[in-house]
Amino acid sequence: MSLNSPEEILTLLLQSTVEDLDIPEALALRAIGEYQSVGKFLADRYDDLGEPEALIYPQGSFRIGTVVRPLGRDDYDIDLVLRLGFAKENISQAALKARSGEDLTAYRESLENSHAPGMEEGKRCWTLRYPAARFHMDLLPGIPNPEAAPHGILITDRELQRWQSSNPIGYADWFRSQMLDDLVRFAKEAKTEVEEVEDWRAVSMLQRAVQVLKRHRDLYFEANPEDAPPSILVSTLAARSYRSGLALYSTVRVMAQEMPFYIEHDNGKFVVPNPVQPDENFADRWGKHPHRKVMFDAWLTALQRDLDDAGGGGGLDRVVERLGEAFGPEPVRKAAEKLGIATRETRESGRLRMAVGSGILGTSHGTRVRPHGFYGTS
Amino acid sequence: MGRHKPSAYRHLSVAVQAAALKRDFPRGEARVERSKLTWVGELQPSVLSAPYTVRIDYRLGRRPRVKVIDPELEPPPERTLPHSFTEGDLCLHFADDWSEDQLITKTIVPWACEWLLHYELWLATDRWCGGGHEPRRSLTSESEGR
Repeated sequence: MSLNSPEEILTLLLQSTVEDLDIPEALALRAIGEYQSVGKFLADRYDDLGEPEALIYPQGSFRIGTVVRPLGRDDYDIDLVLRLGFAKENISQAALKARSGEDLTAYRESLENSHAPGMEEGKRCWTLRYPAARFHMDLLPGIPNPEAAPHGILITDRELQRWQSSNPIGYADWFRSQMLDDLVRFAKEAKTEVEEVEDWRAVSMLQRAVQVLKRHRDLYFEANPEDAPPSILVSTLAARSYRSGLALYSTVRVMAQEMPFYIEHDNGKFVVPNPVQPDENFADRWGKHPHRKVMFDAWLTALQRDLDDAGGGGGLDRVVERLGEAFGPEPVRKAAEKLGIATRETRESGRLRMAVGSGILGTSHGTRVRPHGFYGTS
Repeated sequence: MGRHKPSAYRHLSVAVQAAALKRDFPRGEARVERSKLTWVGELQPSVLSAPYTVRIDYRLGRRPRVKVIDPELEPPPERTLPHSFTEGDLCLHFADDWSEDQLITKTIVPWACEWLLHYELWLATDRWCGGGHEPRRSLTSESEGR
C-alpha cells in the first residue's frame, strides 16, 4: 500500500469503487444455480419430446465478467441465451419467441409456487424475476446458425421479422483472449487452471477497466441514456486498446485516450466490427445518429478530465468529492472508507511507515508508525 | 507490547527532541526557549493530501500538544472534529502510548500524519476509520493523561 503517488491512491479508490458495483459472488452463484435449473428442466423436457437439444448459457457482461450494478437500481441484469435446437426452415421468429415462452411457463409451473420466479414478456426476450434475489434474468431465444458452427446462433430482431446472426460465446472467447496474460497470472496465484477461472469473475485489469468505463458512461449519459455507447462497443474498443502491466488508474487513462483510434472509417461511416462476425458493425447506429459519435468523443474527453482532476490533490476529501461526481458518491465514499480501514489495519499490523521530510504514509520506507489509539470523541 | 514502569525517571531532554525533529524534518523549525520546545513543520500524509502546517508544543512533565495551524480545520456544519480536544489540539494517543523517553519525531509526528489522513477521509465519508476510543465525557486537555 502506498500513498506516495497519485496513480496508486486513485487506483485504490477506483478498484474499491468498481468492486462495490460488481456483482457479489453469492449473487452470481445463485444466478448460475437458477439458470442451470431452467437448463436442466428444458433438457429433460426436450428429451422427453424427442426434439433437438435446448441450451441455456450466459451472454453479455455476465459472461465476460464486466458486470456493473445499473444506475439507480439495486438489482442486476443477467443476460442469457435460450438456444432451442430447431432449424430456421422449421420455425418462424414469432414461433421461436412463443415456444420459448411456453417452455419457461412450463418451468415455472413445475416449481412450487413460492419458488417460481415472476415472468415478463419483452419485445424479443423473456424475463424471469426472482422475488428475494437482487437480479433478474433476460432470456433471449435463439436457434443454431449452421453457417457459424459451433457457437453461432440466429436470433430474432425486435419486430420478430428478421433473423440476425450472433455469436456471444465467440465474442466472449475473443474478449478473454485479450486478457490472457492477466488470466494466467491470476490462475497461477490462485493455484488453479486458466480454464477454471469462471467467466463472470472480474480478475483482469481489462475487466476492471471496462467496469470503470461503463460506470462513468452510465453517469455521463444519465439524462440521455439512448445516446450512450452500447456496452459491447465500449468493451470491444477497450479490449483492442488494452495494455497490460499498468495499474488500474493508468490502464483506464491510457484506454480512454486510445479507444478512438480503433474506430475505423469506411466510406464516411464509422465502423467498429464485431471481431468474430466482422459484417456486424457495433457503431452502426452512429450512421443514423451522428451526434452520438460526437458525444462518444466528448464522453472520453470528460473521463480523462475527471481522472486528471481527481489526481490534482488538495486533500483526499476533494479527491473523493471529484471522483464521486464522476462515478457516484456512494460507491466512492465506501471506497474511501475502505482506504481508511486499510490504513488502520496496516498500522495495527506494524507495517505502516511515515516518510521523513514529508510525512507521507506508506509501507515501503520511513519511520514505523507505532501502536497507539486515537483518544477523544469520534 | 506492554509498558512497565521504569525504576528511574527516564526522559529525553527537550534539546534532544528538537535535534531529532530537525534531522527528520529539515524544513521544519524547532526552537527551544526556557525548557520549552516549539516545533512548526509541514506534514502531508499522502501525495494527494493537502499540506498541513502543524505546531507541537512540549515541555517535560506534560504530554506534547499538537495543533494544526494552517489551514484552519473547519468541520462541516453540524459535525464536530473527531479525536480532538476542545481547544483544537489533536488527541493522538492514550496516556500509556507515550512516555518522555520516546522521540516525538518517531511517535507523535507519525501519529499526527495518520490523524490528518483519517481527518481527510472523515470529511469525505463522515466516518472515522482510524480506530481509537470514545471517552464517557467531553474532554479538555487538562483532564486527559498527565
